[in-house]
Amino acid sequence: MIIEDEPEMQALIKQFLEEENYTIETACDFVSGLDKIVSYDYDCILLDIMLPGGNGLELLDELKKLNKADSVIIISAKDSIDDKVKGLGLGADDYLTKPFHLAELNARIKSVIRRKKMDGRQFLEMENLKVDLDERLALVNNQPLELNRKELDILIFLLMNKNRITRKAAIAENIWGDYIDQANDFDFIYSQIKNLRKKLRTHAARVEINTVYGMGYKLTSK
Amino acid sequence: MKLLNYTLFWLAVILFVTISAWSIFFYYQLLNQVKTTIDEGLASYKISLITSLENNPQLLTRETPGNQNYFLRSIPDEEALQIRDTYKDTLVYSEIRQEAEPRRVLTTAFAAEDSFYELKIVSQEVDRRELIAKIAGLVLWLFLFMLIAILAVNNFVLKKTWKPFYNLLAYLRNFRLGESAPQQPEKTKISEFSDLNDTIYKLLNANIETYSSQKQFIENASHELQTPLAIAINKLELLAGSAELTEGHIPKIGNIIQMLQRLAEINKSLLLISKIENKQFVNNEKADFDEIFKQVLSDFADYIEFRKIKINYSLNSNWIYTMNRQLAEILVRNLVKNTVFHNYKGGEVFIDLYSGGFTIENTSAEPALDPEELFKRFNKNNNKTESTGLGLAIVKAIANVSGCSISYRYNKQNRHEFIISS
Repeated sequence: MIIEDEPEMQALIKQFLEEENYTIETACDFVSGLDKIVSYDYDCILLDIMLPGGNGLELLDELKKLNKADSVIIISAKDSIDDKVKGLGLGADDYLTKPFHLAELNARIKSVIRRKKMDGRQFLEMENLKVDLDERLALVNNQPLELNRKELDILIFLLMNKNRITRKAAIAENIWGDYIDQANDFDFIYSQIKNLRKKLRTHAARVEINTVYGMGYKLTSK
Repeated sequence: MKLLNYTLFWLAVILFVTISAWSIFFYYQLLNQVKTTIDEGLASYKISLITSLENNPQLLTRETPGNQNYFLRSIPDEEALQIRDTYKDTLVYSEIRQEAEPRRVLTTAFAAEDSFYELKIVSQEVDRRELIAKIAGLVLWLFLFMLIAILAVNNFVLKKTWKPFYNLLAYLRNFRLGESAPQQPEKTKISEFSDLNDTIYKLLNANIETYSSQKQFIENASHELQTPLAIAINKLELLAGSAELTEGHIPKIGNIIQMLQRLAEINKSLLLISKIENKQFVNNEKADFDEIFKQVLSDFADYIEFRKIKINYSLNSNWIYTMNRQLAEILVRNLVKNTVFHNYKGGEVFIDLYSGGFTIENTSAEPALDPEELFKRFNKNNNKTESTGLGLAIVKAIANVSGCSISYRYNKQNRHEFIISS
């Protein structure tokens, strides 16, 4: 469920998430948003704070009053600590500041939904590669893969965005935080990717990290 | 020199000169007048004296008594014919005072009992010194009185007159563009001041308006650009993922995204500067710089390691400063990033933290920078296209708003050094 007043933005997120095989509903203002959250249950709501007809935070408040378990990710153009604290305090699961990378949004949605579905252990799988998110363990053919923290983070991020181009900037921001983005020198990610590739190869994983020149990387099946 | 004192000083000087000149002139006029009066007195006395001498010839032969104010002497005819009535200043010995006194003496000649006599009549004393002293004293008093009068005028009238001016001055001195609100000047009866007030008020208002509209423009422009930029970037990301594209297309899209990303970053930085300058961050937290440095250095650890840069962090004593904690982090982060980014591979960074500030130095292939230009927006001394040229402008804005100072120098070890102090 996307509640976002900017039609272009809404269409964009919708298209992106539909490619990820989600079922999407949209609302573009406070009233229709409220209408939908009262009537239906969603796995995840993407909520813009500044909406025509009211504040997104009030919607969050309504949701809480209704005792709904919908996960909420706030997407806001305002990079304000106050709003972030307020939103998370009101029970939002995550807060994403515009502009964001779609890969980042994808990863956030996945982890929010994963957290919500508490049934059993959570795995990300692709071919013979399996990542246990609770144990933070990567396995190839059920054999553990020795990865350092950063390498594992990169692998998880790529897995969440598998078969998609993931931009270097998105990886840097996801792993090292958003202050690194201004350094604009993402070559240092390359060394981590190189190690990761080597380890995947030696363990005969049937996945590979392809370099997409000028953009970033793409995790595909071999 | 203050305006009031300046006026007072010149008034006093001019007054002193005028009164002095006038008193000299007055003295001579007075002296002349006194002499004329004495001479007239002497002349009339002469007539009455001669008449009385002619009537009492026995007085002519007698020796002139010492206590008389005339002297008689019989003279030959030809000498008598040469004598005209003359008035002269002479010193006469006074027995009472035992000193010579200045007197006016009339010398004349007359005939009586067939012979000629010379007659000298001595006037009363004309004491010039006393006269001068008197006049000087009076003039001094006059001067003092006038000075007091001027002081009084200055204090009560001029001070009151110039008050609007001083108020305006005080207001302008404290005025900061973008911080102070324009304040309606107080009414004054003096038209020049009221003109001045109005003119300055209008000028300030025009300035404030220009300033705030400019600020507003930057803010709005950045804000309005944010969403379209985000959408464009995200759309291109989607496009790059679509199957119809050939291999050659993707790097091109990547390039466009990079350009847009740069725009978005510039935008973000401009927005941040606007926010800082608009004081949207409250300075009320204690920023522990040791903690912040450690945090930032660990955030950048991978990047620092990648660039093979050696960090020499020395904590002499911790600096804890009251400012916005978030801004303190941005400040440190930008400076650290700056030193790493503009360094060469294998270079060094020196951070010195002490109570009251810190210095951060880096080795660099770049020559000394111009400290005047360095902190300006979009100042780029190098051709590194990746930098936005706003990092140090942000640092400067944070320093300004937090009340600490920042300076730059190229030090003796050929390192770029930034000094932050409270």
